[in-house]
Amino acid sequence: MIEREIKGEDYIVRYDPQTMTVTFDGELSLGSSAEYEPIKKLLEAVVASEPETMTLDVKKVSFLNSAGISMLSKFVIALRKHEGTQLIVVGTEAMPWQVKSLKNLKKFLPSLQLIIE
Amino acid sequence: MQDEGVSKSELIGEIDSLRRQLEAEKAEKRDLELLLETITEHSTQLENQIQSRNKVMARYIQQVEKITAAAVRVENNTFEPGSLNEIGGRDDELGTLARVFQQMVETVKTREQQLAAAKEQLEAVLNAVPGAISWMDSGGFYLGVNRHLADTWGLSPEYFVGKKVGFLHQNSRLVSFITQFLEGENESDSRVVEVEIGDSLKYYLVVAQKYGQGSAIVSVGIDITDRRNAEEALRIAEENYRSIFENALEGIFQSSLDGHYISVNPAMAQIYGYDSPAEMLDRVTAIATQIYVNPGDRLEFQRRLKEEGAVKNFESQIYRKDGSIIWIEEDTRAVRDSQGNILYYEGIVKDISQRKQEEENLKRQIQELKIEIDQQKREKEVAEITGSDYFKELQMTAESLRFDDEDW
Repeated sequence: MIEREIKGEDYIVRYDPQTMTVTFDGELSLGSSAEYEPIKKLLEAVVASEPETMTLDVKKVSFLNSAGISMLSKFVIALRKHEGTQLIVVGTEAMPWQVKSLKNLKKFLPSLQLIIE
Repeated sequence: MQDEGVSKSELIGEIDSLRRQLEAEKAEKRDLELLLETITEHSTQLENQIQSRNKVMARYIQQVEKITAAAVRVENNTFEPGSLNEIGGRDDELGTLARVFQQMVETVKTREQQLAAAKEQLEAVLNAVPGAISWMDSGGFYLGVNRHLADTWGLSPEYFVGKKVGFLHQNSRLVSFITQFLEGENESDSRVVEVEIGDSLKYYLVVAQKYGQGSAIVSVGIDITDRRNAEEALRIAEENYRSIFENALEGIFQSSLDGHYISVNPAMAQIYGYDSPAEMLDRVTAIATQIYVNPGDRLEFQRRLKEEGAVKNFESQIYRKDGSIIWIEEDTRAVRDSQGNILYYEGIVKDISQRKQEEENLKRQIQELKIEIDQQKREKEVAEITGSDYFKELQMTAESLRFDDEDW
């Protein structure tokens, strides 16, 4: 059973199995990589279920620190081994950090589909 | 077949070399991972610190913006003091700022109301005063005038503001008074000034006073035209009277209730034999005894004066300075105040000695004539009696009787 929701002081991470979408909302400012472990576990669990597509929606993420982008980057690298799963990442121009940093994620996984709204 | 010549040991050597390379790469990889972790954690710390400080500042700025917005609303006159209550509850400097802001706005509002009320009261007073009040700056430009002044010229008070004093009338007397006052050292000054308004010439008593450390003056003008005209009319009337008084042939006098003269004209002094009016005023201290020969005259005179208020054609004998007696005729009245009390007497005196003498002569002549007439009348009666037949018979009888007497 994959967790549907991880709640923090300034953020919520939600998983919708219907659409295979993990939605991030708020400020991701956890103190260290270890603190990002639960989210990392959730993402890995979704991949483990071998979906055809998996969407990461980060439009509402107003703040992502280095430990956070590091965790996401490592996840994207790991996805190379799951060729059967198409990763889609959805961001927005409205959040200043997203345009550059999400493009960099594509460098790790060329097959990644990036949608910037 | 050199490939077959590659010996086992060479391959083993290559494998070893590759293994060593691999180890080195792994080690480098581990270093890089460690480096990544180190940098990531370091920057994460800083980022989180900056982020949370940003949020604190953002909240603070939000509250500051509430105060600046309040300032804008004060300018628009839409500020509600209650809108800063939340910030006013803070116990930091921002709370103090909000509370002070509220207080100041409140104070300003109260002061404005007080000022408006005081100004209204002052304006009411200024406009009620029946004098021309104006206030000017040190350059002689009107700062304001009251309604009375504006009405005098048929203009509105606002019309005067900013104009130079004297802009309405060519007459420069007012302008020179104000100019001299402005340039001088005096704190206050006054002058009677002529001002032409329309077709008429008016006189104003103008009083000027400096205020505001000499940066402004206030001037009050009282219209004394009527008074001046009255004074002039009085002066002319007095001159006319004086002329009559000095030059009259009859004696004119004023006397007090206690019996001395208040004023006498030259004719009066002359009639009574004094060298000058001054001498008569000085010498005569008790009119009743010094002047009137018969005390009864004076009493009669006073009685009639009291009962009728005036005495006309009153004849009496009086003593002149040298003690000689003459006849005078006087018309005298009592002058009273508004309550009816007698203040003094005033009258006209004529020397009627000559007329009196002529009257005496005439009386004497008449008397003599009367005696003569009586005498003649008697003689006539005697003649009538002695001439009558009866008297003649009596005479004859008396005669015959006389003869009879002589026979004896």
